[in-house]
Amino acid sequence: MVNHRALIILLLMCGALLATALSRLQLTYDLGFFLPAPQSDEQRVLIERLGQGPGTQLVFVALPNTNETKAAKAAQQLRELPGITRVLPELREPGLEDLPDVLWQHRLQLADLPTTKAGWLKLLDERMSDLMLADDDLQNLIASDPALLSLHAIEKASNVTSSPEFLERADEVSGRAEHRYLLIQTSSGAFDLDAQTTTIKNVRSSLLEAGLSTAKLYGSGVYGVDLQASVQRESIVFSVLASFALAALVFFRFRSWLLVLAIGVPLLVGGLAGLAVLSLLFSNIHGITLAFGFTLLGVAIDYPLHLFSQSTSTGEPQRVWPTLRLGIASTLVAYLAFALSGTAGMQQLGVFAVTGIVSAALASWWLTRITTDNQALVEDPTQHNPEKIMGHPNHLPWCLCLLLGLPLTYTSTLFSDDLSRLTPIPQAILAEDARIRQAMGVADLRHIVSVRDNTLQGTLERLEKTNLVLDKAIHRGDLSGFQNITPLLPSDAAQHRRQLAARELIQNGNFDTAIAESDFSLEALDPFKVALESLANNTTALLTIEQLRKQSQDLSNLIDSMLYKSGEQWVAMTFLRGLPATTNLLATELENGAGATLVDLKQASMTLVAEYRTRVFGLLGGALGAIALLLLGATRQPARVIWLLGTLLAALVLSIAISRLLLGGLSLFDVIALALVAGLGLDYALFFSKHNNSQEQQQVTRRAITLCALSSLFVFGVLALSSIPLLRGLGVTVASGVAAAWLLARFGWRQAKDID
Amino acid sequence: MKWLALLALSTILTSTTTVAETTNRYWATIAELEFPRATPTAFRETRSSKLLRKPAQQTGILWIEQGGDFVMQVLKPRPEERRLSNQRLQLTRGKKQRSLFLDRNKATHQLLLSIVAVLEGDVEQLQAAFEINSQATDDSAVADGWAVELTPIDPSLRKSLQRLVLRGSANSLLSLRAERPGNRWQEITILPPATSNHTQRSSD
Repeated sequence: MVNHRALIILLLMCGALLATALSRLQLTYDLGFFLPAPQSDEQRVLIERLGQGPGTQLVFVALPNTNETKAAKAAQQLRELPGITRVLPELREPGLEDLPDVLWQHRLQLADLPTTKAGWLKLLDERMSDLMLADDDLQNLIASDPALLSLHAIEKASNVTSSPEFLERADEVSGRAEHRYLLIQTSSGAFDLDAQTTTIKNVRSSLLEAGLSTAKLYGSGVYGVDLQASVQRESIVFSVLASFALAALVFFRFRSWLLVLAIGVPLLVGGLAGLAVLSLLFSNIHGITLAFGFTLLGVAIDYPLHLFSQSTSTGEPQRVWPTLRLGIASTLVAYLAFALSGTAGMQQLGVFAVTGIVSAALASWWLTRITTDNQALVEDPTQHNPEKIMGHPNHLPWCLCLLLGLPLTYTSTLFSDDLSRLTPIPQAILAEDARIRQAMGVADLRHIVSVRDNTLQGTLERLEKTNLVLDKAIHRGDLSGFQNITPLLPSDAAQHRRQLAARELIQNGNFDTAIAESDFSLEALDPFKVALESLANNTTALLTIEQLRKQSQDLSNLIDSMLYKSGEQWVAMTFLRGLPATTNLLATELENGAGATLVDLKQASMTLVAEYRTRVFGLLGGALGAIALLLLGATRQPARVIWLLGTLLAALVLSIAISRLLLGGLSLFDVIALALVAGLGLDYALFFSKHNNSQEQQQVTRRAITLCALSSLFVFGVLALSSIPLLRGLGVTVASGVAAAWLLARFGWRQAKDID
Repeated sequence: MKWLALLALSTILTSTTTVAETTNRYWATIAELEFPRATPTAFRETRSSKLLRKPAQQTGILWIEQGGDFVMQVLKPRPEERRLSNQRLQLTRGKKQRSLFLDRNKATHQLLLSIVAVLEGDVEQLQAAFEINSQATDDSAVADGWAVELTPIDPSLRKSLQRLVLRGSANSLLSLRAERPGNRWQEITILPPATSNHTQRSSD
């Protein structure tokens, strides 16, 4: 029944394709790679900095019923792990040795000094209070930097609070119960999933070793890792379940395990060919490309099913080839739309699906062709009815379904553009995460302020204006704090201004007068005066970004997290803490006062997804038009083409309506899945409306279509049971679409015997 | 000759017993200090610094809260509140609040802990950190005056805190002076109620 030699050749080909793919395969999980070109500044920031903000590097560890000693021991163990830059609380205060040399040398350029005598007297008065508790280090620091500019710069630019403050906030979070909190700063961003996976795994092992099995981890990196693990786990479970169900179904139909294998092999060839071509054409392949690519490739299971159904029943698989070819061509047109959608990820998806479909179709054709050529025909061709059995389109079912389904899709909640709804993280955990973040005063993950300019200096100057607006917001209680690069890297203009101010301070003698009137001895602050004179006399050079980067990797990483080059522009980010619910006023002030943009990352992602969805819909609409022309040209039967497209459209509308009812709204990924529904639906409609040579052939065709529909229904029906919204959405959309398409095609075409 | 050795040993033993008795007496003095722990008590703090022309001085009130936090509320010349809770010191100046660990500033930390221990009558904690030197002389010129000198046991602490001198009168503590290397010092004087104008907590 199956040509063993051909099967072995195809399996060998699979091995070669797999080897080619594995030798070059480089996977990436950078979501920006999969998103479209941004249209606004907000979207640009979203894509460029997705998952890279300092807030995304933080992991909170909640340790219930743990004493301070045990928590401190666990923290010490965590500090020794790779991929972790800091663990709070650190039971030590930063000292002079923690101040980078470059900042110490340029300390007087970092912020404004008082210029009046009154200003200096107030400042010296504050230092008098400090001296009551000062050790030698602090006294030396005061002597050289009485305004403590160097310390403040480090504190302001840090993305985590100081350890004592962290402990205080932790006490508030736990309500002073026997709960301890640790804050881990990882070296990788949340979307660097490989690095995050290793780090989080090490953290969990370390906590288990420390006997802290009840520890709970919070943070975007943790959720990303957990999500990836649960997607992988469920994908494997559902794939195995679906494969068994599919194999059982095919075995039930053909009663041959060899045929089960033969039907599976073209799909395998298609998948591996797609993978091999991708690895040859692209240096990096996105994980989503593969996940959705294999989903879209699901339509290819129909090809061997049709061919082997005909082959085993009539011995004439070639009879279904013209219809199958038309179906394949239509599917290729639909999938080519992805390749034209304009993003690297979607291009890959298109290339993968098109290569896979072509390869699977060719493999199916070759396998059945060789099988048929080598065996005797099981039927006598003379027994065939010489007259073709014709059917007629019935437009009523699809028209009725369209009328019924369209009102259900006409709602504002038809689409869900909120990507967060696709994660299976329980709301309770997200709520606790938000509570901890707010209480700990960590930077808001949703909002950031971005400024951009053609030059670095232009960007820094705008950033300094942004600070003025944000300071006002803090003053009126609309903000509790912010973090950006200006404390470490003032603009050249600000540094020049401070140079002039230093000269003026020396000339007007206000500092000397203040010292004389204070309790400080006249020579106490001589180290400061030396630095001030050096600045005033231009012997201290300007502080540059290169100097900071050279100082240390930590400092370089800190700069990169807040300042980067985007094309020809420099972009600076400001991270906010304690933002109010309504941000309109602040957004307007930032725009008017500094030309800065308050970016709502959630809103930006939603508009981006919405625009992208519109684009995908447009492309699918265009593909549908192209398919119509293709069908018309190939069949030259306008009435049949209208029925085909009407049936397809009605199936899509029903699938959308059912998905909306069951899922609450279609995600971008559900929209992509509609392309698969279109491919499968068109296949069913084409075969049900196909002209057959005999009643028997008609029965074979019908049974083959039903088998195809059942196999897809099994596979995606199982996926609809997933606990992961993303997978569940795919399952519901495709399964409902398959069921609708089969029913409409089966009962919408008046078959020959119906006419009789 | 054996009796000579025995005599020498008995002399040493007698002498040791005398020192131990004296030491115990000093510890007992500290333990018996009457101190109204939760009641705000006026203090004056004076500190010398190489940066200052004359020692800086400030006055205020101090007390121990029920939860164990030690609070020093400075009222003059620059109001601020210092709250010591475990190893953390929280400083509040106007609306500004700042917390710091005292791990680097061991001398100040030990001084503050010692004040708390003295106020609490917690001799065990003091004994864990200091040994008593009975050589201290009382120069307070007050009736029933006494002075106790405590030397840090930890050699690393001795680098920043040479000794702590407690002065008192009968069962009252008068002052606590921390002496640091380089002739620098810090002294907290407990002011008698009559001389104290500020024994009301600012938060009251």
